[in-house]
Amino acid sequence: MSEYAISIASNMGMIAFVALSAYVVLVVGEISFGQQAYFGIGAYVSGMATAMWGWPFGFALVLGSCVAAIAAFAVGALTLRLRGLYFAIATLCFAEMIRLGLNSIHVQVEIDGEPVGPDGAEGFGDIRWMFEHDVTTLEYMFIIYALLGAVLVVLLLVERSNLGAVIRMIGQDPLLARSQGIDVGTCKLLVIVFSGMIAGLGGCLYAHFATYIEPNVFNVMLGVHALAYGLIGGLGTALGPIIGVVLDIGFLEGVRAIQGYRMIAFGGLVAILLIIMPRGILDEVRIHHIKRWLRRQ
Amino acid sequence: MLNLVSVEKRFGELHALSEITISFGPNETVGLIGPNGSGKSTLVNVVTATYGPDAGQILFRGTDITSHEAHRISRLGIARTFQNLRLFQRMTVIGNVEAAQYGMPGNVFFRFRPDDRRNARNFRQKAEWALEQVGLQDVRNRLASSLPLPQLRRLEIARILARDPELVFLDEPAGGMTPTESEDMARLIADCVAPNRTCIVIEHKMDLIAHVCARVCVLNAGQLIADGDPEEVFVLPTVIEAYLGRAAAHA
Repeated sequence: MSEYAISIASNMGMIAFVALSAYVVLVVGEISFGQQAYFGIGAYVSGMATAMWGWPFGFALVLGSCVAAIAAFAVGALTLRLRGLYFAIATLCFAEMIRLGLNSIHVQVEIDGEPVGPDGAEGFGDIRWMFEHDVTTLEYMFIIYALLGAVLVVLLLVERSNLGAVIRMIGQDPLLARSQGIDVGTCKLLVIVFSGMIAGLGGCLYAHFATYIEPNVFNVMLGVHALAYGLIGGLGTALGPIIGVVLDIGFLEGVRAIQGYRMIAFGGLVAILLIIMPRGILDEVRIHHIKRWLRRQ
Repeated sequence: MLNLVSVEKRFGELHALSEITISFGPNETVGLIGPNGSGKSTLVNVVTATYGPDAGQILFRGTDITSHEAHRISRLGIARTFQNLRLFQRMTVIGNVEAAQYGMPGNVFFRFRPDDRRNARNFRQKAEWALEQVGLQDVRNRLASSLPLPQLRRLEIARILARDPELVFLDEPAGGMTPTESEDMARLIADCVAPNRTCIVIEHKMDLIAHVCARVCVLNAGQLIADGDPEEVFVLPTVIEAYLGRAAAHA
């Protein structure tokens, strides 16, 4: 496998985390433009844990995901009463607050005579865990996909559970769900925290793959892309956002013939799909028909 | 069963409910009627905490539920349908009826223990039973959005049956139906919904009210203007005036 192919595949895997995190919020009926903030929090916290404090990679992943989940809890609790456009704007403002906050964070320690740690807009380099532990990019790609697989399995299991049905009930009609005994607020908060954790985990992986991160990586375009992946791939299954990621990064960026035109092609694709398939390729209705067809076979 | 004591609800200057004091006993089937804008749906919304009352007290089986949240009220055993149909359109028919049971007390999100799996089977069986009661068993695997209006109204009833609540509000259960469909709905309410529970039916179709209700309460401009036997209430001048105007009441 060429380094280029590994890089594309790894990027797909890492971005899939933030796409999945935006997807779960979409399923519960809200649009978040702020998932990139949790991705960034995960990246910075886990990077600090391995590069500055010498923590093992596994613990850094747990810490990064948990801090992102805590941030998501705070945002979720504060925005619990907001709906629709107001929720979307609140999440966008939070994400920008985090990005601008990262621009002014200077926490560095000296390691081997070199300053290591976040240096505001200059970014945070020397996240060298991969090099220090002789992990090849191919091995790291497998780590990414193993964790992505685990998250996908959890999401698919949740979708088959009562909780999955409850989340879809809230997404479709929160008033009706509430009138049937569902604690809509608590369930929404649970989903938002879980989404923060997923995005945070993706961010942890990204920081250690890129080895250098800066606040502007976690700008609003990352959040918009994350949302678009779910809307392209479909909101009927957790596999939907993965299809969106594969179409964008795997196809549009991976195929060299259309390189340089990726954003134009992607924008057009999103516009066309939103017109002809408003809830994506694998929406709830298509998933229903696929399940019925599979049962008949 | 349900007691409302001096309940008030205002929307700005508009008094949607004024000093409503009313009681509904166990296993009663009561018609709640009144002209458009009289406060019928507002009363249901206030009891089920879609929005809270501005004053007064609501007691259910002696417990004060005035400040309870909607999901807690539902778990106590109060269910409702909506004037404007509300269903989970992107779920199957049986999925809608099963989902109606997920918010019931004791239900869990994941089925790890054998008891939980047994519960899930019970939900399925209860949903199948409820669909049979309303005659929708043949369309159980279709998406709710693909059903015509009379079947959607029946699906709402199936949802109620699956939850088996003690108190039910049916908000215009025959809304938009033909006379024949309304008669079928009246029979369904009388045979399946009303027995062994308190049932409050909001409806403009007096035939349906007369068929299923032994008592009628009339609201007008947010006030309770009559309460009693349907035959007596329908001829009261105040009720006729509320519906047809002062001239008709004195004709």
